[in-house]
Amino acid sequence: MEMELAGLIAQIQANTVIVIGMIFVATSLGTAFGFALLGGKFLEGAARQPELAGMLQVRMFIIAGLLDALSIIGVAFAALLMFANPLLTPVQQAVGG
Amino acid sequence: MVEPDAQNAEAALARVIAWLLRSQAMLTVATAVAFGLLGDLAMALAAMAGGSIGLLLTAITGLRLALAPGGEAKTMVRTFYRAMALKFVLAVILFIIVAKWFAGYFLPVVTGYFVTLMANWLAMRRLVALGGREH
Repeated sequence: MEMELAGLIAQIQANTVIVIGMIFVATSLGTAFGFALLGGKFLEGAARQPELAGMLQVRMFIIAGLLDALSIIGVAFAALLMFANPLLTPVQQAVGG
Repeated sequence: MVEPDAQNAEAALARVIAWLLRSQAMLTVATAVAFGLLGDLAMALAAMAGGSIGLLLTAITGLRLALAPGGEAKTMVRTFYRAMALKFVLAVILFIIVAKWFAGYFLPVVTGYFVTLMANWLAMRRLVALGGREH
């Protein structure tokens, strides 16, 4: 019985680690592409009209706040799964009960 | 000697950052009050913690950008990417701390953070409404 529970917990933890990895890969790829495009377009715009560089920087800052939100929310969920995994709670309750 | 255009751009950036921080603070308090009314004190504190993370990240990134010497576009982009990297590292640290403190109240934490992002949409809308007068 104990071995079965330990196996179950290990299985949940292994799957959680895979999911955390997937979250990091997906969110970091999305954000990396977004930032690359954003920086590229900024340089393009600033090269074309240098006097607008300041204005573009302000807009880039605002857009960046939204762009990296996805990866930060991903990090938040990964932190939850890593340090306080709610998927383990039913198993722990079953052991306790 | 700093160019007038660069000075204007710095002032505009400072104004936008100040406006963003004000809006995020107000949204954080509103979310915490809503969670406090609908749930309990712990939920309100969790929402406040989530909102504070958003606020802190914006403040640090904004300061990092605003304090950097302006001028060339290349320098701006370099500073910007460094500020974003710092923001990401800070976000990881803060969310790990909060995940340990508010493990059972993670929905209010994420909601609190998510609500602060609305300030960015509002800031974009405001810029469009101002029609470029205030960058």
